[in-house]
Amino acid sequence: MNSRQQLTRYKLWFLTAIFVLCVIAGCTQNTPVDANAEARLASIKVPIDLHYGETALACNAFFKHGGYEWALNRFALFISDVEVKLSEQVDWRPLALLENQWQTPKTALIWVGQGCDREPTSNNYNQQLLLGISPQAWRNVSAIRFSMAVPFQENHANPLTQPSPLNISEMFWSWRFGHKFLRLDLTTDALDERKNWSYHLGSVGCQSPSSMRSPEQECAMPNRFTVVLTKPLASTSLAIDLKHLLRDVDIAQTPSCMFQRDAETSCRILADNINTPGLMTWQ
Amino acid sequence: MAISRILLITLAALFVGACSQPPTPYAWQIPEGFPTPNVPVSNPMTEESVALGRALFFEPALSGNGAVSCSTCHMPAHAFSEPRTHSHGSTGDKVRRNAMALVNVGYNGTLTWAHNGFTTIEQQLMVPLFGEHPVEMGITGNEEAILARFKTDDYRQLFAAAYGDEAATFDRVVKALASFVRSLTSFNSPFDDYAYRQQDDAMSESALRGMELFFSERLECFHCHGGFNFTQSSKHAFQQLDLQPFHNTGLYNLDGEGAYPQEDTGLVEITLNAADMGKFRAPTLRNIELSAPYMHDGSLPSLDAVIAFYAAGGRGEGINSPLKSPFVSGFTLTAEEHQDLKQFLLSLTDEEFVQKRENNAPTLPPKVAL
Repeated sequence: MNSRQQLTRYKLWFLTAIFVLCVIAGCTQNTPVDANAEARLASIKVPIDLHYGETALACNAFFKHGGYEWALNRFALFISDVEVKLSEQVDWRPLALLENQWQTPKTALIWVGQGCDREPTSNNYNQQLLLGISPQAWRNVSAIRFSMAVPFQENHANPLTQPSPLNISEMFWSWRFGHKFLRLDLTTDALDERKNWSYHLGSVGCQSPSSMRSPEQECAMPNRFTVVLTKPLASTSLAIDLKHLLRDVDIAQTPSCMFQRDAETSCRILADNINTPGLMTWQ
Repeated sequence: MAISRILLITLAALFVGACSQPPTPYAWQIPEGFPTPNVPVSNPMTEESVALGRALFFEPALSGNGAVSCSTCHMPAHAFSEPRTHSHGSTGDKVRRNAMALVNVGYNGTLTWAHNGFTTIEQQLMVPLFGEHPVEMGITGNEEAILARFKTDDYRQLFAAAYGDEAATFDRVVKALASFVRSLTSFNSPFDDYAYRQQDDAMSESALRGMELFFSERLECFHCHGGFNFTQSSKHAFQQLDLQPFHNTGLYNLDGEGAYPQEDTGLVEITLNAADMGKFRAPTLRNIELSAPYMHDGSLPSLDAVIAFYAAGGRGEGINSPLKSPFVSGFTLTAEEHQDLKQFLLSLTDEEFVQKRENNAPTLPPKVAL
């Protein structure tokens, strides 16, 4: 074989290799790029623990309030617009949330309730926040601030095109009123008759032509409560205390607070309790 | 030269092998904005598999004795349900539950009235096809005879187009039927025109008033019949979470402890968890007008009866069931409000869905060998 023939053979091999690569590249699916991968490397997981006073609450939990035992059917809470303040700084810095089934970049859903112990997967409970911040920077955080709500634009947007968790129908009232920001469903069999009690917090006084139309302006009572917490150095998880939320509310005797009747006196007390420091604390 | 020839042959083989086109990907008939259903990787949706599934769905030769087809109990005119309290199988066996409508079932997180383990249509289909207690299609014991009926030119072509060769197997039958059922999507009701296509005049004033009632905390309907599919749990391209879609509505309470009739106790039969007694899946309300009678046992004959049932917070002693959902607490409606709510439910009917050629029996069914 002369050198010219050898060169031709090399060329043929080279062209073949290129062609095979092209065929493979063109006919196989592209490996999806994990957009969160980079952020995950620089992320912090903040566990959220639910309590009633000293009693830790998880799946199918019970607690005593007002002398009666109550079953926790559902606790759900939207958290959005998370901001942090770094040590020796005065400005609040917005933090992105890592996207997953329970979080959009701006909004997360905490989800605890009955049934979640049957299949201990992330598919039916969520008790953590995944924050897009490096462990190093997190150590320098001196305070955290967030809203217990869904931001106005997302709150009243088309539920069809919203990403998870904003399209979970159990947390959606209607286009007019948007989402339930907080949902607490309790049941007791300790009274003469079974009693169900619910607290569904969301925006009310929203003006639009029908429940399937979005309001153009913020609702008369947006009911967006902001939580501001200084962050001790050693803290690792956030605690939510239902005893604080239900303080002075006689849930055995008063009707639920679902913002449907004017006479829901419990709504006022619950709002006061949310506004008083103590509902959420670092552990 | 020999090497060059081998290379050329290899190239040709690679090109053909790597890029040979499978059957035509299915073109979903879904309006803009709505998500597509989840589709198992093992059973991709193709035009050819849906066409084969449609032929099989309406084909009595698929039952052991040739007496019934899937469409005997799932009739297109009734949103693929049956206007009887419960169905009968091919050999006359009583099927204990009311035939469910097949509307947007591709979005269901779970299938049938009360089973948390059936998560794909392919799994669920095995029950009516092969079940023996009761016998429905009655395939078990008649497998070879049934497959022989599909050894005709018409069906050979259909199987080859869908799956690459002419062999009729039950794996392919199940996959094709599942593909057809998955293709039964309905998003063209007056409510869809109003809510999702923003047509302000699509619904009557009465239906609009009923819609406000439906989405109110006073009636609480939307807690269990929520989302674009009016059922609690929908899984699709934008939502993969599987939440709890089963509820006890207070239809029965035989012992004061919430017991349902022994014949059908609901989800508890699967989970063996006593708290699941009487729990059934909240079905979609799309085309609900067409799928009477209602509830898992067909014991409520009309929408009027259903509204009265929920207004009462259950039926008979069921009202006091300790296992009843907290959201079936009852409400009071004026006569006008009752009519408004009914008009809203009627606005969920999609006429195009039931009339569409692709959702009905082929005009010229493929020939079978009998």
